[in-house]
Amino acid sequence: MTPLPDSSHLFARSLLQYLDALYGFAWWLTHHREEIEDLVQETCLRALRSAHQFEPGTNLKAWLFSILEHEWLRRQRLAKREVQSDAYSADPQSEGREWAVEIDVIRAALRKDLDEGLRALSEEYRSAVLLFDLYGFSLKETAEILAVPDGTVKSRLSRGRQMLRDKLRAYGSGSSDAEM
Amino acid sequence: MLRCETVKDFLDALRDGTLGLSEVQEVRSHLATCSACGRESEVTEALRAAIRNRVSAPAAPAAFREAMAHLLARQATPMGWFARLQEAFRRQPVAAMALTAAMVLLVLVPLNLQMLFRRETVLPLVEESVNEHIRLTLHETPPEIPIRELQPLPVRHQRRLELFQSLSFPDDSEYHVTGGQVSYLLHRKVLTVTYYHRPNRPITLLVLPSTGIQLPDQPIGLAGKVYWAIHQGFRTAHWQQGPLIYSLVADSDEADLSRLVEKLQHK
Repeated sequence: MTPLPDSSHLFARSLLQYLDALYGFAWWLTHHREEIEDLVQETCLRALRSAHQFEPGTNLKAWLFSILEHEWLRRQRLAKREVQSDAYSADPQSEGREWAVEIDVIRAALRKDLDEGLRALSEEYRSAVLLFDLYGFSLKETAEILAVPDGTVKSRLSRGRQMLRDKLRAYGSGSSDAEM
Repeated sequence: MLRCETVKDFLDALRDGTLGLSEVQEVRSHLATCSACGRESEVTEALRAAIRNRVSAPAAPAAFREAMAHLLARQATPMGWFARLQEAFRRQPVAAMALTAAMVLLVLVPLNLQMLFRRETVLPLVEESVNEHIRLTLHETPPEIPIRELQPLPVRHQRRLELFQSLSFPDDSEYHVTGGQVSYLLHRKVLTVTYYHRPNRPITLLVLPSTGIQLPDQPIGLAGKVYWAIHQGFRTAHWQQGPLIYSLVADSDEADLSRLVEKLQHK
């Protein structure tokens, strides 16, 4: 058997380090296990085939996420799934909210509430919030992964968080009819 | 003094560490004096902390991880010479095609090629063949030879180019394959491979079925069973190996070509 060259072998192994993160992010995009695994597998194979395009010293994790996001969008286009535009509008009454109470609500939020709140966001807002707030990518990296300008990421973060906050407040007050 | 809208826009950049020193100071000073922005920042931080600490997604199942490890290890196997040829041609197709066409011209003359069919022998064979070769190369997708890489393949039928040994030497930095093309020439498949030897000193190898091709009766130089010649400043070497003709062309010393001939002949 031909021995693997160090560079290819190491690169393949480095991909495995991010398997959980890729799997998790794919899980947020789709809950279908087969689709998650297919998405992650295709991401890794594409990365391996395009290894020469990766610039050493840059963020491999961000590069892999951008491949996954790109592949997901490509599949969505192929499936002709239309991403519904978000019909969110700011709650005018929220201007006068009690900040301390809201912080308590957020701090007391259960994982289930956070999961449901995030899942209720439209994909563009959810991805921005997850990439920046959960996975810790920078604004620039998040913009590159989502292939949108930095300003769009800031806007999506702001609106996405606001929607999540409203959702958590609704959970906190025992209501489940928060409009997303 | 920064406006509240601006500060709100700056909050993520502040966490990101991408603000300049003066901007950082201005934002912090604003947050210290503006209760609305201070609270907004606090709520956002609480939300981020909740997301970081309480939101998670399932990890990759063990079976999937194991399958991926096997798959990636298999895929990481070094590209065979043919795949590398295709990659090189995808990257620099024009240069490779031009080189291929030039090399074909140089090789056809000393080989004294003859056509398989009598009616074609009365035609200007070299020009026709070269034109055909270029036409196919430039305007049509060259047919690919179904080669299982590095595996000896038996002759199955005429016109199929069957290679019995590898033409690439991955461990040899002196002669490594940088390009290649499969096309038709004289009604048969021909494989053209380019080796990088020294800067501006590529070596081109043509491999084509020997049927109907007559090597020179009285070659200019003959060493063993390798026919040597010089045409238009290019050194050429030709030999027959099994059912194939191998032809090397290069603007190099004979010694450089000789080493490659030996490697190709497995000496």
